[in-house]
Amino acid sequence: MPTEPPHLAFGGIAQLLILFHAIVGLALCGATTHHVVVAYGYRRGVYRWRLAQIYAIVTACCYGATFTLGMLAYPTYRYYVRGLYFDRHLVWASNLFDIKENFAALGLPLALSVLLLSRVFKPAEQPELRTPYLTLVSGVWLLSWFPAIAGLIITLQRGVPA
Amino acid sequence: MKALYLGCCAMMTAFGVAFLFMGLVPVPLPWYHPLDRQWILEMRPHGLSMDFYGRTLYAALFSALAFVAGRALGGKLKEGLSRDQAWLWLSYGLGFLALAMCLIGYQLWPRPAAPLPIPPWYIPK
Repeated sequence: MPTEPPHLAFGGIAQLLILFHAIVGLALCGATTHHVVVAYGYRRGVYRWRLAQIYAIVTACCYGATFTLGMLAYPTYRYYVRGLYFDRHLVWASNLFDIKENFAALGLPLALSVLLLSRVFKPAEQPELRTPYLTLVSGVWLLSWFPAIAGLIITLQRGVPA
Repeated sequence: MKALYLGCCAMMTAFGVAFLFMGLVPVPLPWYHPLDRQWILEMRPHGLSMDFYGRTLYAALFSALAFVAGRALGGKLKEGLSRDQAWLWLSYGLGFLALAMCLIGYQLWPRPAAPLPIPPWYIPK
């Protein structure tokens, strides 16, 4: 057992990392929601594919940045938040956190696929891919919003009283 | 487009399969020990340790290989991409990712707590 607060990797800037994690996560949720709206338009004959390309780039960049920032802050969370508090008082929050981080990892290949496909996909010329593309974008949307909402619920546990 | 699409589907499938496999079968992983700030390749670690980085790294490497293989295979296929084929390949990718999510939820939600001992310097707020 440490006799003084341990020096964890990125522990000194963990709050800053979490702050940027939240800001970039906010941008991610916005970009992916707009992307779903544009991809849904393909099914109704509205082909704003250049806009979709921009949203795909923003989504992929924000997804990668949010994930990386979260990974950098994770050791501090693991010791101070989960180890000393959640696992003692809020086990469900501890487990929800690990579920959301694993789900976020599973969204990485989806976000990358959407980025790659958006570069070459022309919805007017490839009707067979319109709905699969919308499905992929919706998957990224789900895997962006679920961790965001789960993260907010977890953070609220020491925020305003219920 | 067909080669890239097949590569992306292979990448998603491989990522899901990797998470599924590592969730079911113990494999040697690079575990990070945050208190010691060191990485150790092991199957069952002792003390405070994290396997998330190692699992994500393995899945990323495996899916990168699958992407390259899928893209190469897709480039060799002569016929075009039909609507049914597009859905079939995508359902492999999304299906395995969904299975991995189900397994993660099933394993983690009822996980028993393992609190660390309270250190002498700790002041509850």
